[in-house]
Amino acid sequence: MEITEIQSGTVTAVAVKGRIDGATAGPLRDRLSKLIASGLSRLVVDFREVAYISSAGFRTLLIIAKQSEDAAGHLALCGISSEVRRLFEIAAFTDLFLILPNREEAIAELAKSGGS
Amino acid sequence: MPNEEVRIVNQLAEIAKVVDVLDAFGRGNGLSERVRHDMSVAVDEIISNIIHHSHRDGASHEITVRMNLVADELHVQIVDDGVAFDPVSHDAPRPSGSVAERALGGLGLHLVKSLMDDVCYYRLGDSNHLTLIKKTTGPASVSGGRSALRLSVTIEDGISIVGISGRFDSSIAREIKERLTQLIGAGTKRILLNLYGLEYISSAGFWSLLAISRELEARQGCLVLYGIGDEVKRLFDVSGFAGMFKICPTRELGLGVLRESAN
Repeated sequence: MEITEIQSGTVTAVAVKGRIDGATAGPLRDRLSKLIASGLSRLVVDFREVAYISSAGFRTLLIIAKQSEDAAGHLALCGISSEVRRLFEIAAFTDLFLILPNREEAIAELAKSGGS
Repeated sequence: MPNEEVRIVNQLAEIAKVVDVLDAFGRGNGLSERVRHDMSVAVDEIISNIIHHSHRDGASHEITVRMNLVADELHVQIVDDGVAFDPVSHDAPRPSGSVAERALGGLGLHLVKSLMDDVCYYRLGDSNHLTLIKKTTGPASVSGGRSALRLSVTIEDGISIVGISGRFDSSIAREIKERLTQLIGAGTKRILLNLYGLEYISSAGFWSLLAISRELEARQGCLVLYGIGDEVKRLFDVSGFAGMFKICPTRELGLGVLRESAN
């Protein structure tokens, strides 16, 4: 799994490439936690190049969502493929997140959101 | 028949090796993206579970993964020598609730059961044998709605305890008969059938059980049934098959009958 950060104005996009599995979910969680802790409150996680996500990955997303809420931040997901979206539906995770079709729209949406 | 085997040690970083081999095997045999994706997630979940929960001695253990293409199904068998764990009979609650309320226990098994067409579990000796089955043809729909799980096998004191759940009709009667025949072929003489989870049984189901019963008797073995609910009991009575089987009200009584049959 590779993680790349792209800063766009006040929004930080995190592009994830590869599998979010039992081994990589931990490093992804640490990376996103660090961003939230450092005060970057508008985060987009780009799933465009995610091959699959396992329950360990869903656990990471839930922890990050809680941390983001606690920090009064804004979190969005984007670029979710049809196979991965099916997993989000089976896991009943689609209602828990702001999900947008692509990175540009996600960044534009979060740039509009209130607060810092 | 295309097949592939990979052995790993019980470390999370090893999961990627298995998924790499699985993906190459799937691509090499022309399997769809959906089949490869769903099997990758299921294999990931099962191996993660084994690594987290199966071994408590801190030592290195081997996990064997075998991939087979059988007719129009992809079978992936995962064998480990850890503590007995039957995911088939383990309850995986449907996920619900907000970010704050959400509990994630059981999510992995929920994904596995939703993504696979069938999951079979056997405890043989000191090993767990779990087979994940995904159909490679037909409508690529998620089977989450119906109960996708049909058969689990545990061996206790030389008695095979087989759980059958869901609808036992003509569409799966042949398959269940084949699996039980395989078990007999492997040396099983005494089978205790747990029918608690059975929703329905058709005449094809009865006939396949009868064939198994006769096969066992021919080898001086025995088939005993237990856990038959009211609805299913009515089907046994109406069809006239009730008198053709040894039926016990509880697991303990069933085991008792089978232990005696060996003497």
